[in-house]
Amino acid sequence: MSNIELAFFMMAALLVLMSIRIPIALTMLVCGAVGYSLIGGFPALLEYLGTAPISKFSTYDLSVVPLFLLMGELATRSGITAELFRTCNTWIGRQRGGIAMAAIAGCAAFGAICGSSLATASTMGKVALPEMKRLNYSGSLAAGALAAGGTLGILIPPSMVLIIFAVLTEQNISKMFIAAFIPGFLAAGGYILAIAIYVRIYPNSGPRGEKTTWSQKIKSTKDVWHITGIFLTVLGGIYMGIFTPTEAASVGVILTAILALTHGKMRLDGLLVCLMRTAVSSAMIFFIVLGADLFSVFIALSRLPDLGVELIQNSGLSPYTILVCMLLTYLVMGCFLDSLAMILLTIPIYFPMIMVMDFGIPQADLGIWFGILALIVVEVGLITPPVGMNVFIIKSFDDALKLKDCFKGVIPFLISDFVRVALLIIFPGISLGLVHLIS
Amino acid sequence: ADPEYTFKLHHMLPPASNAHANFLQPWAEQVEKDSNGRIHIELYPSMQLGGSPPQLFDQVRKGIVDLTWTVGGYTPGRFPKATVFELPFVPVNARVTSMALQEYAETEMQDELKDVHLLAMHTHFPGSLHSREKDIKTLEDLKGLKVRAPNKMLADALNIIGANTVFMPVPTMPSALSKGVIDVTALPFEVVKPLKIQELATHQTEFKGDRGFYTQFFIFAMNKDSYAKLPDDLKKVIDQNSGVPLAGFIGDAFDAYEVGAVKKRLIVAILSIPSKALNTNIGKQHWRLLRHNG
Amino acid sequence: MIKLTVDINRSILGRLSNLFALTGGFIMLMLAVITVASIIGRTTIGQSIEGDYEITEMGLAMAIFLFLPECYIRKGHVVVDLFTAHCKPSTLFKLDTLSDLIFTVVAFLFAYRMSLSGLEAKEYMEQSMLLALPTWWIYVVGVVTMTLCGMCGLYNLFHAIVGDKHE
Ligand code: NA
Ligand code: NA
Repeated sequence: MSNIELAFFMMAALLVLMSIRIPIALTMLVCGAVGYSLIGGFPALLEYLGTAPISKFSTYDLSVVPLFLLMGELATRSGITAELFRTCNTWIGRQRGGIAMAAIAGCAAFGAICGSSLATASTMGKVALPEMKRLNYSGSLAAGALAAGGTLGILIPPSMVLIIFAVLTEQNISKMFIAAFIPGFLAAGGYILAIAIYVRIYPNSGPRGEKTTWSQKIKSTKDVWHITGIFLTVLGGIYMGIFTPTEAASVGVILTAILALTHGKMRLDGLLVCLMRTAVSSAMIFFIVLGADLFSVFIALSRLPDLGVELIQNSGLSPYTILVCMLLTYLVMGCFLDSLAMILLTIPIYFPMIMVMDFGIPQADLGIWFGILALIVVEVGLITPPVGMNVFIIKSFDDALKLKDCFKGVIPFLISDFVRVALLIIFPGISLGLVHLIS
Repeated sequence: ADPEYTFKLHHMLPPASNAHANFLQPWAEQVEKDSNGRIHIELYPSMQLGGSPPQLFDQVRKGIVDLTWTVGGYTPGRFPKATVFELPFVPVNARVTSMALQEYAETEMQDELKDVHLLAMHTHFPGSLHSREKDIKTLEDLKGLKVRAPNKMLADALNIIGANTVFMPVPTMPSALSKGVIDVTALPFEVVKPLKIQELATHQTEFKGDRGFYTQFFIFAMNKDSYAKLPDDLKKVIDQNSGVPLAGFIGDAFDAYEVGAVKKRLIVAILSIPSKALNTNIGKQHWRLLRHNG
Repeated sequence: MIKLTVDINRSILGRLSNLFALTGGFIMLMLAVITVASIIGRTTIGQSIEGDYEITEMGLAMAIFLFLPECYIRKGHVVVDLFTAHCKPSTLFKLDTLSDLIFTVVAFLFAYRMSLSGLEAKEYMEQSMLLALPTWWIYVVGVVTMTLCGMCGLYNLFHAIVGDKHE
């Protein structure tokens, strides 16, 4: 068996093991380990196992994951976010699907301070899922909206994937962030539109709430000034240059903890529960990061990505066809790999190829434009079956949810994603316009 | 025909980097050519084979990969002898310093490098200071500023003159500069360009005189067993492409890159008395360290 | 549904996992406090906490290790139940036992290899950049927690084989 065949075989094995309920992280570890030892030798694998957990777990930029999870726990447990949702409900709950829309808006707001999709999906999922259940939303719509909303954590800057992309391709990180802004908010808008259409077709999936008066609306808004204050402090701190997006997670945790202890009347036992729940979710995410790393090292060793490049280069296709092919490969890979692994594997190969093709876009803009497109498609992988990390996270919050229903609920948001990608390919100005305006 | 020996070369920088494009790739091609295709070298940039940059040296030592190119300063305390070359105001240009370092490594550093087959040690072109707001004209101007140091040696040196030193991973640096988490960073222009540091830190300072401000040392090494299993004629091919000439070749690649660098608002500062004091102070500390380590 | 008659959460292994997870949680809280203190320091008196980045990296690694056993005993690891939704409970039980077996092997393998790497880190005096904190301490935490993970796995396997978990 050649290395390429081995890579395909292991991908198939990965799918089989996953489908018989072996935890995702374990399947990636096992398949990656078998493949790695067959190509790189068993002693090399043993050495890798001795150091990989520490090098993966001590990644500075990943420190935001447990911190934002803890922030979400604190806010949820102390009732702060429930208040936020009550407020949203008084304003738009009367609308069909209103709370799902509010959840998207919440994800977008949270995404503007957090660089991770998984953290966004977990935090907002914990907050919004029980609320939607209480208001008799269908499981499909609730899970779909939250899983898709979670991707806004990456689509709206700051964004971990964008940082990695910029470093790999020597692009300016600030410019990448600026370029991601309009597409990110388009994503939020597109998701809200998707909900509006969905509830028009299936009116029972997102029932109307009670009618509220103006005085109720204003009164409820007074209840959330403090959480708005935290949000503005964090956001303002980042954009005024007082701290980095990674440090913002720490600021958010401390402020939320203080608020939870003073206003939310949280006690020590509540804090302990928050820490325990953070522990479980964080360990789950980092264990997957560890598994994904081993699997992507194996894929790199198999030289499968190189073969892909050769196939594309020898095909004689137009730049746009090749671009679409590349983006499609992300969709396929998104079935197996996590977003960071995909970027690390493919960008070193795809990027130089893109830079020599003619799209009628100046060289300086081409890299930014491609980066934003890749970012979106990579994030789509988080909500596509069979392995959609965000969907799994949302599902893990409610045992009554069926995975099949969750993936069904994701479909309207996928359609919105595809429309947005098409728009960005046809009108590069959507991402590049703001960059030109500011610089 | 298929190659008889295939080696994996693992490093941390992207394919577009100076290191990858201007000497690792050419080196690999040269070895393949000189061996008539009997040796094939697969390049794995951007840490594709896993681990973190400080682990690269161990990866080649243990044979997880066959070849690596890595920064010596990422594993502080591991190569105390080479840190002489990290002393401030020691380096000349990359070619001269690299060849000197390689010679020093061959004669003085066998114990520290005994676990690998050394191809070449080298340095980058002397680094300069890149400041967000303040012109750095003398070293006193650094007092109280938050400075990102590239290694322990320079961190100690900057601490002595009253700077507030920070160490952070290279990818975190641009955002840290833009937020003012750091005011100044010490970097060679080779790193400035890919990270677009000149757009964030527009005040650049180089130092007058025949010695540069500081440099980092790099290790380009092969796994011992990978080398040992080669037949003599192929060992010779590797030998031809290593040692002092290779150090010189790599140095040239760094010097050439420096010439083409973007220098936006360059100040050439004059060495002042405290900087000399700093040199001796650190120097003393350094020799103590050397004695301590044997 | 499978009902657990022997609950690992009530065993000594479970208590230990709880304790580890809480410790990890407090480490994360501490890291947040250190980072905020560092931000306040540098914006007011121009002095950040030295080595705050490396403290965060090392603390994060320790915390994540400490979280792992708790995640396992709470069945926190994500599984795809798309294709097994209609399986008999006894089939699911067998599949879960297979997962426990793989997890146990993986955990002990990590513990074994990390103990060797940790000894090496100690021998080579691996340390952090600015504060020169020795890194072998993280390996100690890693080995202890991975061993606990493996022991929790053994516990589950033992009770699965003895059969007292099966209703
Ligand atoms: Na974000
Ligand atoms: Na997917």
